[in-house]
Amino acid sequence: MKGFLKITKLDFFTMKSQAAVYLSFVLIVLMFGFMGSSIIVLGITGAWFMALMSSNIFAIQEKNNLERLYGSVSVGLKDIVLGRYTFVILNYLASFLAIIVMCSGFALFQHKTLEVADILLGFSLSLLAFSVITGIQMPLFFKMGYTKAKVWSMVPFVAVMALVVIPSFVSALSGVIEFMLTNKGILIACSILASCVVQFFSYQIAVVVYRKRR
Amino acid sequence: MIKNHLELRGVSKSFPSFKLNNISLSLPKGYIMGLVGPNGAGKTTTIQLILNMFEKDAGEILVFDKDNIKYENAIKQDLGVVFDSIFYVDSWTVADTERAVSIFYEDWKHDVFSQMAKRFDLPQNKKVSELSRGTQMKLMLACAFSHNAKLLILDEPTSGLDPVIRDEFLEILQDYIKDGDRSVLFSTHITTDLERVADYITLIDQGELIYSGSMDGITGRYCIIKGKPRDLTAELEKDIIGLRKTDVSFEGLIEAKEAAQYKGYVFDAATINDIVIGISKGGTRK
Repeated sequence: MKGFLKITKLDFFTMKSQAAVYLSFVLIVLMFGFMGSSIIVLGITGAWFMALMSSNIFAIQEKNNLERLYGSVSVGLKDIVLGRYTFVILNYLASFLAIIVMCSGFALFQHKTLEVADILLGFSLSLLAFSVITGIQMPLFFKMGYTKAKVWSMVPFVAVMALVVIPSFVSALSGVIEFMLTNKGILIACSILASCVVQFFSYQIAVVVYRKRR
Repeated sequence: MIKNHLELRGVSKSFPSFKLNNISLSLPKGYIMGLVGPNGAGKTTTIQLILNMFEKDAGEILVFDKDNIKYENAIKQDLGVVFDSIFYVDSWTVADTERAVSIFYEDWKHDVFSQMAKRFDLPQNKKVSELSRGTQMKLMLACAFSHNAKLLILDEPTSGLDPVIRDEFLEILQDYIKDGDRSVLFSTHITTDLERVADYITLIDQGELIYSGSMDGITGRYCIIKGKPRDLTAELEKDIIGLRKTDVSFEGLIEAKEAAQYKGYVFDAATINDIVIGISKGGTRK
């Protein structure tokens, strides 16, 4: 098994005690679903929740001296960073998969159909929100550790909220938004591409800052 | 054939408030080396450099004759590490810990872990946070033994343990190296433990290497000189390391080669503890 996958697997073991918190996510989605929220709203809620959860792994790492465990086993620095990114992204993907399953259930129950275009739009926009938040958060945690980065890690949540709110107040952006909404394919492709770029650069920065911390 | 399981050559590392300077040591295969020094001497930093948890500024570290950075992953397959405090997730049970740690080792042996758990009385379903400090240390040791580690690196493993557990722990170490294929680097400030088990010793003080070699070498290098205050000449005072003076007597550490010139004084063999205290305190104490 590759080194980074060993770290991802270890992260799943590490988060075992957080099972109840993950379960609360399912309840939140169910509640929103019953209220008739769209898959886009549910997806962004899931992204928000999983981004919040991603800080927990750093908290547990710090509380339990896991740096020492990482230092004693046969994995390199890059494996640790890549393994953690993989874990966090898998968390998001699992959450979106759960949302699709639950939305399909709701659609079946309400005799509606779940459009593939809506699923893709929900996926791409929530992935973008998730990538922006974790893309800023993760290098901060790798640089400073959980306790020192805790306050700073809230900044990306504010940034994403601002990105959602600002366009409604800036008339110049209304044209862009209208174009995006009428060209969903471009919006989906751009969101996925932007997410990949953000995650890639975030990972590269995390490796550099984590190495400097050592 | 590998002669030394661990070798450090001129290793240095600078931090804003501390410098580990030019550390060299050799731990031959099949032996136990004690790494001693007062708190803050640089023992844990040395161990973290061996494990590549910090990047060194200068020097060379060879583990099993291989560079510790270039062959980090291969080397760590054969390394067992025990720190002064547990580094497993506190909500894990003993069984969870085995599952989590075994991910990283190609040669993990479940039956060995089970045997160790039985020998150390590790309760499989008890959480790490519920184990006593002694049992936590045994859990770390059980993990180290279960992948057939050739070199054990122990950082202050006995601090805070009661004498009975410490005694048991030392027996485990002696048992571990008896086949001659395994070695131990054992950092501690409880020097009586080392006098029982260590073959070699490395003494560090304030980041500087004071001595690295055989136990007999260091105990033969120093002795304790005692006398009355009126017998303490300026020349002798200069030669004494960590002089302790009272109104009725004085005593201190002196190098054995210097001691020969002083007649009529009382000389005692120096223990490792005397040497560590004498060197780390230095100067004159009243």
